[in-house]
Amino acid sequence: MYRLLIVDDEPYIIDGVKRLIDWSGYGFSRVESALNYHEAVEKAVELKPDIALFDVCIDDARGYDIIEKLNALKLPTIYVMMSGYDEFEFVRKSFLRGVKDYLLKPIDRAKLQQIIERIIVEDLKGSLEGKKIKDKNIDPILNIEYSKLSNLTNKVLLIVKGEYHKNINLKIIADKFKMNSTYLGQIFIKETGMKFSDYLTSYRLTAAKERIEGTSEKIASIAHGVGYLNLNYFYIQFRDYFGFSPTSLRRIDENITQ
Amino acid sequence: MKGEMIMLEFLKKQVYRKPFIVYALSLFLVCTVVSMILFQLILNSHVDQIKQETLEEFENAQNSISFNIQKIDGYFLGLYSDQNRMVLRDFMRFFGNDAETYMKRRMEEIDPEDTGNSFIQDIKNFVSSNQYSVSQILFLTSKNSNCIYYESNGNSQVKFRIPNATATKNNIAQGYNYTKKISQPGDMTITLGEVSFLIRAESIFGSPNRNPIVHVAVMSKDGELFFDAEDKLRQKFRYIYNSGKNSGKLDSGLFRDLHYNVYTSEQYGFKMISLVKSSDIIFQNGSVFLFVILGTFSVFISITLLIAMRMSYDARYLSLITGAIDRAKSGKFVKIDIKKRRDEFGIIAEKLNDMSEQLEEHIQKEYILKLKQKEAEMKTLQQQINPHFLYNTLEVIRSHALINNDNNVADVVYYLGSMLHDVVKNKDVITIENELDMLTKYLKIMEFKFPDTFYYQIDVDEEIRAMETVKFWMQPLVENFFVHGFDRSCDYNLLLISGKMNENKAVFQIINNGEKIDPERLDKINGWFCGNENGSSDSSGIGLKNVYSRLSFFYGNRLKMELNNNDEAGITISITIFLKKKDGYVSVADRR
Repeated sequence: MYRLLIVDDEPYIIDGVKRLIDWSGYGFSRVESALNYHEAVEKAVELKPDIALFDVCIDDARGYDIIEKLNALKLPTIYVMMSGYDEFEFVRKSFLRGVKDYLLKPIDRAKLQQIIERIIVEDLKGSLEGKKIKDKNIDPILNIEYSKLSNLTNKVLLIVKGEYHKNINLKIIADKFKMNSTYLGQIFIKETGMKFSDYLTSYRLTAAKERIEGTSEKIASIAHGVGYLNLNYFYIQFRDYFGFSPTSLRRIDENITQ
Repeated sequence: MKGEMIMLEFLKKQVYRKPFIVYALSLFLVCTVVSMILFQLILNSHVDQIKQETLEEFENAQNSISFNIQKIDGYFLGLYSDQNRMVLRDFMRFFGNDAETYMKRRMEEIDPEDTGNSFIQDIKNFVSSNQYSVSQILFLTSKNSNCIYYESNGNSQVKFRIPNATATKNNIAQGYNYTKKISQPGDMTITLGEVSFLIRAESIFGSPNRNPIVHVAVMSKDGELFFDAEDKLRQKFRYIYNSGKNSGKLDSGLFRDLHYNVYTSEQYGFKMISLVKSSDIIFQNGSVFLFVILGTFSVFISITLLIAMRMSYDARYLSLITGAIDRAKSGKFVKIDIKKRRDEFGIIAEKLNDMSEQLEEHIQKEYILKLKQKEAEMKTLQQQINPHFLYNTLEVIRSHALINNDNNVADVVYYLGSMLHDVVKNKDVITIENELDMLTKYLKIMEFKFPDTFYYQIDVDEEIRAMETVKFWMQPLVENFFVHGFDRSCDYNLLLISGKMNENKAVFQIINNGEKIDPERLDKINGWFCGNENGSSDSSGIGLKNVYSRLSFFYGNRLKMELNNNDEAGITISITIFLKKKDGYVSVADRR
């Protein structure tokens, strides 16, 4: 398990960095902090951290000067600077001391994640597998993270999820936004790679399948419940989509329970 | 060579090129005309001189004939006088008789010892005293003729009894015939016959120091005498003789015309014609004509050079002036060296200098001063608010939010801090990608401000993202939507930003679904985007105007901006940027 040292003269910022990303998820078992020069040296020697995040200006001291001192002690630490200053001299001196990267405050969460992941893989020879699966928030139909989609598309998906059982279509959603439905359709395809009507059908059928499998409700009522007014049409579409009929699904279930 | 190039520099200037060509051409024309006139004058004077010479020759010939006639008349007067009775008798014996009769009578009538009174001897003495200018004397009677021939070396020959038919008078080629009637001594009323003297042509005509280019012919109705003339020329002589004119010119091509003079002697029945070719005159006096041509040509060259020097001097001065104007256009004011010129050019240069000075002073005062003031204001502002203090504070607030597990607040504080940092720290010219980053941060903040009521989407082509642009123009355009047209009571406020590469232009569209703009105001705003400054502008107008002026400063005439109402709701702001042609025209603004 990895050890992390955060050095900043502002205790609140240290707390913020501790919470900015899910350190334990990346496998950090010990996260320590230091508020000044002496504490930083002491903690570093004691902890021997794998990664140390250093502010450039710690009171009157300079982060890269502490790193120089620690370098002399031959600690196996990877250093990353974080600073509100992007003055060339600071950046140059830091890289001369062999720091891995130089982050600008305010610290971009995504960037910090990227650097930590890179250090884990490249320098600590670790893996990220445990982390990855955990915080994925993926659309079941599109298989795309919601965060990768624009909030407009997210809203459209949300409308589908809330109103798929009603009579909805692209035109109705476009009207809500007082915009051209063709244009909205184009945006949807471009971001998701799928036609809106296809998405709606997939969502309805997937929901129907779950309800067929998870409840003992009548298929006709389920079909109606996911927005199909015509039962025959539902059967045809279901079979086309999954390759088997809804009733066969029910029969298997019954067989198993029996 | 180089001096020549500088010298001819003025030909590049329109003002000088045309006049110079006109001057040079007209000068050339004048010189040509003058030289032709001179040419003609000299030619004419030579023709006149030749005419004079010919007249002299003609008069000489006439005088010579008259002199010979006088001599002959004198001789006969002497012959018929008393002192020469013996010779006259001998003449009578000789005249009209054959040799035998003459000798017989002579033997009978005079002492054989006395040879002094021989007519033949006497007349030979006479001819000899005239340097043998008489070549033949024909004694014609009604029955027969005797003839005495003389050669110029003094030999003589007497022929008796030549039939009249063969004893015809000779033509002018041999000489001039002077015929005298012989009357009976003692009774002048009885004519015995005629004596015809042929005076040698060479002793009458032909002048030893005649100009070799002048051709002379003597012509009469029974003969013609040429002095070394070819057949072609002889024909010309005959033509002139027949034309009856006294003088004139025969044209046969440039410089090949023939000048002729005809002198007619009514008294002696001949005409003397002189003929000379212009070309011969020109060749004979070549140096004179060459001098005339070279002279006028050198006058032409030197005057042309003088004009060229003057013009190139002026042109260089003009270059100084235009150069100064060009530099002034690019903001550099240079003083023109007036070089003590007091003409209009000098005045222009001086006024231009004054103008530049005043302009520069004005710019210094109005522009630089204002810039300095702005700079000072900025410095004070920076000194008053330390940006690091601001970022640090924001970072502390963000940490607080994180500690309180309020990720949304933490994020929005990050976006705010980061956006401020970008605005202050980014260079003035950045990529569209950077600009979109800044805009995204702003939109995230707005999303936080209006949760679940504001939606947006950005779709900009990759190749557009790499383009250069000026900093911070998208945010003011988007902000316009939140200030006007945004409906807080509506759950579906929408903003779309698209950037599409379209052949040679990048088209941005900022579309919202807020309120429409009334057409009158729309026209006014679009008027600003076409450079119409008229009409006052409110706060939103100022924002749009500011964005337009910054973009058009950067892109020059490659920018097109337009505002339109959408069919459904809201407005679309379209910004079209035409791409620079790789080898095409680059506008002034692009070079900055």
